Amino acid sequence: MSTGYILANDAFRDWLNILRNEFTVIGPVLKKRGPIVFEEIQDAGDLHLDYCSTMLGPRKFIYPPTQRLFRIDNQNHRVTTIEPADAGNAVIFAVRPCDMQAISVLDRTFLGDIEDFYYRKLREETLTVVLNCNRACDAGFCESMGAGPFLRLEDGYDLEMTSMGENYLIEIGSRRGEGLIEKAVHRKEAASGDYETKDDLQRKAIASFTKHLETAGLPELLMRNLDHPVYRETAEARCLGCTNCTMVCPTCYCYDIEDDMSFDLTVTERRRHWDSCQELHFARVHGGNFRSSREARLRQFVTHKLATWVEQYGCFGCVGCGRCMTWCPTGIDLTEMAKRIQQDFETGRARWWAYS
Amino acid sequence: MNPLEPRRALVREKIQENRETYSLTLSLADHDHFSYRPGQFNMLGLPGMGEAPFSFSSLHLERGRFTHTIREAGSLTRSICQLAAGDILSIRGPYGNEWPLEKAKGRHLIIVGGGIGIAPLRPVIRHALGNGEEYGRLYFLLGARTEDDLLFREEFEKLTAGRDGTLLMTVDRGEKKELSHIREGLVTALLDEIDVDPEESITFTCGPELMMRFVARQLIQMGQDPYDIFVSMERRMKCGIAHCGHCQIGAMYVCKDGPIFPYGDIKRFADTML
Amino acid sequence: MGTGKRIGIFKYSSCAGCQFQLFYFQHYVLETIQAVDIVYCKMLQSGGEEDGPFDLALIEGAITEQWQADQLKRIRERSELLAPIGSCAVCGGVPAIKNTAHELDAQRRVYEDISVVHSLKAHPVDHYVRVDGYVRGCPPGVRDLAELVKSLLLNKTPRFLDYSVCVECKLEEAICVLVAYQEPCMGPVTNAGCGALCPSRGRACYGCWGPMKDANAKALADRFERMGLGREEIYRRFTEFGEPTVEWKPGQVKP
Ligand SMILES: Cc1cc2nc3c(=O)[nH]c(=O)nc-3n(C[C@H](O)[C@H](O)[C@H](O)COP(=O)(O)OP(=O)(O)OC[C@H]3O[C@@H](n4cnc5c(N)ncnc54)[C@H](O)[C@@H]3O)c2cc1C
Ligand code: SF4
Ligand code: SF4
Ligand code: SF4
Ligand code: SF4
Ligand code: FES
Repeated sequence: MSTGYILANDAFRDWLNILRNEFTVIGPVLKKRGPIVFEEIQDAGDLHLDYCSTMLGPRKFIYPPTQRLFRIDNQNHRVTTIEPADAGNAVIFAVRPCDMQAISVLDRTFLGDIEDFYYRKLREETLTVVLNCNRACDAGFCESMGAGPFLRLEDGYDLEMTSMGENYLIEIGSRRGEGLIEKAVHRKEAASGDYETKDDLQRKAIASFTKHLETAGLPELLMRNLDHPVYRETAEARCLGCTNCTMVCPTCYCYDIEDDMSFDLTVTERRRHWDSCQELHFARVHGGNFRSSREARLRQFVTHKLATWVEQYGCFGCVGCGRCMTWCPTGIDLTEMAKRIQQDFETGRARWWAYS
Repeated sequence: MNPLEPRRALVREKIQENRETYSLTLSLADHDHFSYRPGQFNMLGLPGMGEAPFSFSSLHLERGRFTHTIREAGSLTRSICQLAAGDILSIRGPYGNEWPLEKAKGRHLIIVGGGIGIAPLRPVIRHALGNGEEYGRLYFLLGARTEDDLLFREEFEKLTAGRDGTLLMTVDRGEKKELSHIREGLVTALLDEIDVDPEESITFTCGPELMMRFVARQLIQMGQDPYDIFVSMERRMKCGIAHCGHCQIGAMYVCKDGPIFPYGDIKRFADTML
Repeated sequence: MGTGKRIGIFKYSSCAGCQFQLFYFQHYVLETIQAVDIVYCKMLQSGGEEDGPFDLALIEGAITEQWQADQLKRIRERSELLAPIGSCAVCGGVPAIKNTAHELDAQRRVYEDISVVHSLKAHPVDHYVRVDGYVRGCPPGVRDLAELVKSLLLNKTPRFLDYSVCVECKLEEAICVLVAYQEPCMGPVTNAGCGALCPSRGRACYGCWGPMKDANAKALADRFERMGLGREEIYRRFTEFGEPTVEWKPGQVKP
């Protein structure tokens, strides 16, 4: 069993304020018009820990929506790398287990055979403190996806917190996390009873899920039914191509690169920004577009998350956070599409659309 | 190391191949290490214009030089084709996999190219002709819209003259002007000329996806294993290193797992014309 | 370093918003670098070379009279590139509100004596001539305007913003007024560029930047209907800006 500490709620607040002297402390904050947003806190009291999920996950700090990559001298083509802005010494508090899992999923893309320079830098310089979920959120199904409601990762995070009423159980995930908790003044070592309480909470949290997705055999089933009518029907009747789904999805990694030249044509700034397979231009090449239909684009989203990702990275691209269906203006839910294909398979209908 | 950071390349030589296609011979400007295999590609770029993928059309490095053959398709390609010897452009790579020449050893080799797709096949054609003893019969079946679009025609004619390789070429109907040995029609018609057992041969093809579809389907009908047919795919590419997601075909990244795929494997996915 | 690229700016039926944007642009960017020559712009200088030729013609305003249409065709012939700027020129904009009524009725409502009025239905520029791109916005977005001018200088194909307002709305992390408050937000079918001005302040998008390419207007109209909006209201949402656009046609079902 890993070493854990107990921090009373007051001590937790003191700890945060101590950390603020040394780190940029980021956490969920309740904003004026109602959204809860991950941003830097000015005081421990700013933290809004009783939240379900934010619109954009903490992904935005490690893989920002827009990133400046290079400055290029147009005369001699010399390239200068632009270091990621505000890199360094950030601690993100209260990262939900699904979002932590999502970051580890992103790691497989950006820290695989070839490492992305900017991602590596921000990932390394950002510490993550996970907060376990004591109950399921409405649209969430992280339990089915193996991402929650309590942290399932072995590594890749720094601390794991469980809210246990009057205090927090804080467990160590990394050396750097250990360094963080050592700064807490009134900490005491957790006793075996504390871990039992945690297990209890976890059991209760698991039992609170109303949304499930059967994942066994799902990738194979989806890949054999790429022509299933659910994609066309849903796409035509409801998909707006607005890309809300991929914007909020914490594992989406696609980007576009864009050059911006100064008006006097002397310097170019090369930037990248999030892109989405739901956009018409995404698969366009000179003289054609390989996903010109909405059906094809919706299928790309669903099959990438629930099928091809597994072949690419050995894990699902969906952590079950529930964001995409929550913020889709027409409520398109990829689990419902998957379930329809599963049902059709059970009644012997899905095979008809088998991909030859 | 920042994999998105381009190096600088110098244009050494430019040859106009036809009215919209140029071959640019390049070398790295800063004496960097460089090596590549036929089938791979580079991301070439110009500041302000962005970057795009281009296959090697040369067989191997010669005095540090390599060649790309580029058709003017849009603004970036137009600007690259306007460069002159001594100009600089940016380069990242090489990326992607190579033509499976090892797998072809001891078998008949069928190479089918269409349009600008002939350029990425040029290195393997040259390699096969230079190492004829390693293969069975060699077929080079090339098609293009017009005679002018048949890239490297004279070069291939010279290379195959008096050798074992069979070079057959077609142009679209009504586009044939002078040359008696060029036929009219589709490149697939040339497949009928193959008089070896398709089961003992291996196919490399590059060209419009519809062309590759008909080539592959006909070869399979003739008895070739779908996993012995290798297609070179083209997709939009932004990164070249399996990060930006643009080039995905199902579970495959064209930039990393490809651009060359066994037909039987890539065909399982949606959104291709195969 | 002047490139000597010749630009002509023409104004038809529109408010002064586009002009302010252009002046702003002119002072802060174009003049400082003097990369281009503005050879015709009625609001900046009288005279000018009305007949071109132009490397780039920028057209603002909707076409509502025959002389405008005729001149526009002449400009097209004499311009290498031509782009409508601002929603009125891009998709009809505010002037196109009248298109839902009979033209004669519209004239009667506005003018006492209609004998001197020769108005046409308000159409965007591409109704009459081929265009090389659209600088959307009300007023036109500086980002796309800059992209257009730089593309001219660089001789490249401009890349305009082509996604929905929702993208910008999400980057603002604004609560979605459609999902959360059942407001009839036009964001999902409207081209981005405004920075989600309305939704990020808690109001539904009116669609003033005009349609996004490939918008699924029918699906959004159906969504509005399921929310309890009447046919009349839905029709009005989709005709407030840009009556004649193909992208929004499926949402523009007459009640
Ligand atoms: C593996 C591979 C190998 C290739 N090898 C060769 C070769 O050897 N020779 C050859 O001639 N061609 C080759 N190509 C094709 C070549 O890459 C394209 O012809 C080239 O990308 C065209 O670029 P362009 O900028 O000139 O044209 P355009 O298609 O006009 O594109 C202009 C630029 O803007 C971008 N762009 C265009 N529209 C949009 C939009 N709506 N949104 C965002 N960005 C946009 C494009 O990505 C491009 O960078 C190859 C392609 C691949 C994938
Ligand atoms: S959010 Fe919904 S409507 Fe918008 S692109 Fe995604 S699935 Fe389609
Ligand atoms: S696909 Fe949807 S539910 Fe799954 S991780 Fe992405 S946003 Fe969350
Ligand atoms: S392809 Fe689509 S679903 Fe997959 S990561 Fe990219 S944007 Fe997300
Ligand atoms: S408020 Fe409007 S613009 Fe914003 S996400 Fe919702 S539908 Fe899109
Ligand atoms: S080109 Fe970016 S993933 Fe292949």
